[in-house]
Amino acid sequence: MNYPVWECYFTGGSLIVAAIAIIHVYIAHFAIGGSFFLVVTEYIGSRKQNKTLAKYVKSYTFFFMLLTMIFGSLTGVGMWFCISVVSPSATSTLLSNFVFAWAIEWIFFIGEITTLLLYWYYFDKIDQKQHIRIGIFYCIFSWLSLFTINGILSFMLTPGKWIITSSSWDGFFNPSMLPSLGFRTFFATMLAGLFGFVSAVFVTNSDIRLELINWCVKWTLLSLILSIPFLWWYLEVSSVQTEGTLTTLSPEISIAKCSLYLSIPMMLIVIIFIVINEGGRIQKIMAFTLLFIGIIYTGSFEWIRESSRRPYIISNYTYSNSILLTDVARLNTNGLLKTAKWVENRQISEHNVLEAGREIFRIQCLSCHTVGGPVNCILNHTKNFNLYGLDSQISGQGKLRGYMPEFFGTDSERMALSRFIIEKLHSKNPSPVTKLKTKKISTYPFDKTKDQYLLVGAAQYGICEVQEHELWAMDSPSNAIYAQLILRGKIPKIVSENVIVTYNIGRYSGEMLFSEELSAFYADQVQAILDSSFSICDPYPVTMITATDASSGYILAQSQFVMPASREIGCKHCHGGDWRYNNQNGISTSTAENILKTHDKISKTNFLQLTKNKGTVKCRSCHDENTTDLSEKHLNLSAAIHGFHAVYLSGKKMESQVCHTCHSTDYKGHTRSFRGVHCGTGLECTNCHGNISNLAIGLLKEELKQDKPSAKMLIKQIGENNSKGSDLVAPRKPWVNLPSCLNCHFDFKEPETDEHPVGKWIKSENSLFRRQADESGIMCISCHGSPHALYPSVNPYNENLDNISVLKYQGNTAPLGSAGNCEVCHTVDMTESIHHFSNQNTQ
Amino acid sequence: MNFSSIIPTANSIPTSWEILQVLLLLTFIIHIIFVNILIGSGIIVSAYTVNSRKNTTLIAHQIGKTIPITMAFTINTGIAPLLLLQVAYGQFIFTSSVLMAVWWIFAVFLMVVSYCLIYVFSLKLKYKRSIKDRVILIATLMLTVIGFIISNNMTLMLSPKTWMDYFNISNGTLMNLTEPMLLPRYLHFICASIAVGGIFTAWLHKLNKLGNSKRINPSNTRQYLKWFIRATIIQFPIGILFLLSLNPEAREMLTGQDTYKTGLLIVGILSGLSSLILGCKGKLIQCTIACFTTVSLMTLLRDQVRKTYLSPFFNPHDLVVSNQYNLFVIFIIVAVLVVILLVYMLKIASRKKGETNQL
Repeated sequence: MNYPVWECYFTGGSLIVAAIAIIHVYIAHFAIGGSFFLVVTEYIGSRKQNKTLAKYVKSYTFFFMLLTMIFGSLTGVGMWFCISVVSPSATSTLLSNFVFAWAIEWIFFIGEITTLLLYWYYFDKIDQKQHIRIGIFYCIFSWLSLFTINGILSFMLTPGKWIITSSSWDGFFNPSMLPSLGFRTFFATMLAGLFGFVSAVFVTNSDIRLELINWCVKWTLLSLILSIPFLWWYLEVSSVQTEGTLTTLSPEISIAKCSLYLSIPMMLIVIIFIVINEGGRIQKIMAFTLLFIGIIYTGSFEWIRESSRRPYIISNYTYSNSILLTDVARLNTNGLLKTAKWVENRQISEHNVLEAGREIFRIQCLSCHTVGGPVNCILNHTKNFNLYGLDSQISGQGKLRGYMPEFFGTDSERMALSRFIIEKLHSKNPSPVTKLKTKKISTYPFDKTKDQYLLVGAAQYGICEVQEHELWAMDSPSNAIYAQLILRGKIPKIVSENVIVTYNIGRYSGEMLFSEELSAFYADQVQAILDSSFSICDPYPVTMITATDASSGYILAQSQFVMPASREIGCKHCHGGDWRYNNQNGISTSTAENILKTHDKISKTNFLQLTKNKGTVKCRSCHDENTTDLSEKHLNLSAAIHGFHAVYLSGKKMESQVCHTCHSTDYKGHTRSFRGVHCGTGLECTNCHGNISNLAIGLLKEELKQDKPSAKMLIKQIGENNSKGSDLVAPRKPWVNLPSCLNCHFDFKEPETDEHPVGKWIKSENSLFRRQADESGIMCISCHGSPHALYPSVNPYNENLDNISVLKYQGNTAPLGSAGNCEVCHTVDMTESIHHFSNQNTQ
Repeated sequence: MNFSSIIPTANSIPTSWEILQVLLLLTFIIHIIFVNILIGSGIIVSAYTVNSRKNTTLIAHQIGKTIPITMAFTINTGIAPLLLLQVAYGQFIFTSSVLMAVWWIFAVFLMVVSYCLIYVFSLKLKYKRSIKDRVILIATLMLTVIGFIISNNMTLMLSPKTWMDYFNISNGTLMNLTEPMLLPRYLHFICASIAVGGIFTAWLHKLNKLGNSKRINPSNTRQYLKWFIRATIIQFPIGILFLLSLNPEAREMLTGQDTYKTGLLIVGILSGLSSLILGCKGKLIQCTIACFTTVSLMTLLRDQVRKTYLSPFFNPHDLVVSNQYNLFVIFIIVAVLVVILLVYMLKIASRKKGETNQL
């Protein structure tokens, strides 16, 4: 931000640094360990009067000198050059704090290479005692150079008290300095032993070879054994200092730890092979294998160190993208473009949005990501997202999986970045509006003067989303239908006896049972998606219900209503893939796999593999809201899904768009399921349910009652800034504690204000609108229609599709019996209403 | 956009500016002498190998043996001044390095390759002589390219106005080729390298390191000092060109406006002249001292030019000092101790020097 960013798309900064670092780290450790190996070996040779050992040391020294002096020192310089251009800000911080430590290291290094040159050039030319004395100084200098550089390196992961005191001493003698020094020391000597094997196996004299191999075995094993306690200490200290990053969500660290631990026994096995196979052909191959395992051992350790430092380059001070922790608040308030120095587009307009996005990408992403490069390619990481999905991902980035920095900047800057990635890098276009075919409706006649019965019905859910895929199943409650048969008269009656009520949806039909509790006929577990050919194109199949006299079989009344069912669940917006059916709905296999993959990655499950052997993963088998087991620590499904996604979706300006991303309410989509009277008045999902943060926090609060750790973690990650008013949100159980009509319709009247109290939920399931009845036993949905499709509803396929029932009985789309239509049931006009009694008590 | 607004905010410095300056200049003088020896030796050796009719190939190979060590010390003595430069002028040098990142990293690649080639040339490896001769030529060319890249960076850091090109070329391939002083400055450096390289080879001869070279010129060192003399003669017009290519502020400062700096330039030129005369007379020790003095004075002058270039955007006394004097003292103590130890070890190593030492 303070410095320009090298816009190197293919390699990014990280690849170049990593490429040089791998070589440098290996050779630098080898240089240090090798100094001890050479001098100790020479000393033992001199004590035993063994000229062979001395000769071996001499030949090894030459190879060693070339390797360390050319590649060791130059890759060190290379590293420095690279970090200077990739992370100038962090390099500057390190220099500003440790320039004299670095200078001291430089002095030691000068001492090291001078003594190495003397050691090599004066082999056999001076008294061996003096030669060994030079060698001892050579060892001391090389170790001291490790000592100093180790202080700076370990500082980057665990700056310790430096964060508070800014003292270079505190920074240098940081918490992981000693364990890191111990590990690196013995690791370095071990590495020299591994190289020793390689040079030893090429010795032609078998006695000498055996002697050398035995010496390398002792040396390497001792070093390896001594390195292990320091490794353990280092991992412990680092884990505490980085607040557990080492043990949390980063999958990279798990892999690195695994390879680190595996490489130890592998080394032992290969060493045994080398000893057993003395003189055999395989011995040389094994020696190189050993060297390779050594690289894995080093690489894994450095990988852990690098990964656990994320999202920082200097822990708790500078983020990986060189943004200082202290600048974050300023960036989020004023914006990145107005704060950063090396930026051309200070204001975002439609004209420059992509250029501004590019500048933001440069500053925030390019230090770690490549574009089309071999590692950490941004195109791979973002290929699944559409614009909104990516914007959401970036919004939640770094919160749940803390090894990436969060996005720093304003909402419009975040959108500019998303647009740059989607429109410029991926060349993706926004998805078009789905064209819908108008659906014809036909109503059955109703004669107010003659017809004795009135049959009314509705689906319990006006929005019913059905997820069904072979890989995983949410098993959400399926839709149910209710019907009430009313015998018309001055005082109408609800008929429950001697009648048979049946339903028919396309090819599917069945008899409805009468519920005394509801005073209604019902059929639950109605197969929402009847079959693929039926529902793909039609999220609003019409249900025909028929009441017949049980004894005569005479049809008393018939009615129709919509039983919504949609597969339009927008997982694909973030998880990739296409719609499964007709480019309109359904979760494709690609999307479903990605979801399992993500779950596996974050929750360390193995579902994707499991599905190959054992079939469908049932989400509710772990995330069950109906469980009575108080020790259950999994969140219920609603809390888990909303809680997790709220981390990414919270804080958006267009709050209802968040709902439309996942649910079938998208105005451009195939279902457009929010269509009732409230939609017509301009209300949005969030007016009743609250925004995603409040919705999720309500669910999580309920889970918090059982001390579920995920609930606590998610509430924290959703963040206070994104969840204004969340303290007022009452805990809620999914599908039970829902918004009450009375939150706005006080005393059943039209709301007097535009205020929408959020977070007050109905206490019990039986008080819900979909199950509630008035004093006379008439269910709310019988007169008002299904939730989210309340009369008068405007269905996207035909504006009167949801209103068929009321249109039939009263010729208009108002709620049944309203607007002076009392005679629909009562046969006469009534002067007062008794229907709006409610016990929708809220909590 | 005003280019001064993109200059990064400076970090704090560990000690007073003056201490940093002294350290920077001291370490740079040591480094630049090694650089000059390295490139000078490389050019002389390449010239000897190309012109093999004069039976100079053997001498070339004798000189070539020293190049790996020179290169090792060139690289390692370069670390300290670059560190100090990054601390003292971090906001400028980091920026220019990022702008020309590709070339900056390419320089590292060239260093690795040229170092390998130098070893191929200097060691007793079984290559054909013609291949080895080409190898040193290529290595020297690479070293001069590295010098050119560094000259670019050192001038680009002084030119924030040019930094604005970043908004057109942000892929790290910027060069400072439009800078008037770049070429004279670079040539000045190459000439200085040949001159110092000449003195170095003369010393090798004097210390009897060139073996059969006595066959060419058994009586004196003038043969080798010719490199120094010719390069120094050319250096004067190039120096004038360099002076003229400076921006008006710097040029006027060195031509009378600032007495101290003008005086420094005059003393530097006189010192250069005296080294030339001493070189012509074949007085190697005196010539070397004069040459060393000239290099030191020119280094001071170089620093003054840098300050003048940066003066519109940078006042060293605005920097926050973080008072790491205890670390500075430790550094000095360590440096002294290490020098003592190294001297001690050289003493150990030279005990049987008369009989076996071939260093």
